[in-house]
Amino acid sequence: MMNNEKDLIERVKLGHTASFSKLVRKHQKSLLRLAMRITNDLQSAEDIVQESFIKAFKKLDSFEGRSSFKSWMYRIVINTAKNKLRKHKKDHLDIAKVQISTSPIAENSLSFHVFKEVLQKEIQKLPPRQKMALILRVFEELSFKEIADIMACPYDTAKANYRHALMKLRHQFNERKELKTWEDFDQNFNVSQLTFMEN
Amino acid sequence: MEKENNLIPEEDWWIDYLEGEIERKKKQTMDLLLKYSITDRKILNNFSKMKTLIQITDPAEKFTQELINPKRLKKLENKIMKAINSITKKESRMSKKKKLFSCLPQKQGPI
Repeated sequence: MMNNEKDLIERVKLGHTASFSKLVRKHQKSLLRLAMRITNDLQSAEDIVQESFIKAFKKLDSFEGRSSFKSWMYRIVINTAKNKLRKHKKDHLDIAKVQISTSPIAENSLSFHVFKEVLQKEIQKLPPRQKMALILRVFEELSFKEIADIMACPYDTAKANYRHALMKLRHQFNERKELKTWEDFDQNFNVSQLTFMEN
Repeated sequence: MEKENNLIPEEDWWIDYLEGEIERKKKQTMDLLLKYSITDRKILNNFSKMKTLIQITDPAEKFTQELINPKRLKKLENKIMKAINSITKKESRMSKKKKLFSCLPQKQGPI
């Protein structure tokens, strides 16, 4: 952990509340992205981040710095998101809501759009721990050691959760008709091409 | 034979291979398979392609602009800090009350 951050935490612990805003500023973006990936909904993601920072502030005395502040916050966000999702067990994705574009590149765009929505839905349906391992590995690009730390589980368990998630998704890829086209997508495409396709 | 000693790759080994998490002994076998077996090459390619597709469907991507919008972030920061300040004020009021009550003589019961 950077000394600077350690100092900030110590200052907050001593009662200097304003220092906490620096921690918020430093981590809110990555935490919002993480919450967004878990909930698939921006408003819920913001609520989760807000709630998580408040929890972190209240429990800051118990933070001993054995893991990084970032890992600690990730853990709080994940738990907060899990609780929230449990409370409002509704599906944010609805394939019927996919907008049908009429632009000349609509067909490509639509098929990928549908593909994307269905895949996101399948990710949301994964068992919680598998979903977390997948999000932390694929989107957050964390090492399995970091993932194990955040998920508070052994290294091999983190890896096994990730493997199961991928295997399950691959099964869905082969089962669901909207995902069956996956082998047709060119592996070399990149995000900029997709952004173009979606415009 | 135990699974660990069997060097015929299971499907999930390819995931470990892709993630750079495969044991050295297994890796040697798998490198050979990749060289000569079209089927195994296809399995690995499929996992790799699938991972790329998952990455590209990142739900955070569709809100990239909002997630980096300084006004939105500032608003969120203010909301968080407002909540935290109200907690601090409440706690400080509570501790003042406690101090005040601790100065008062304790009730001994009905006189």
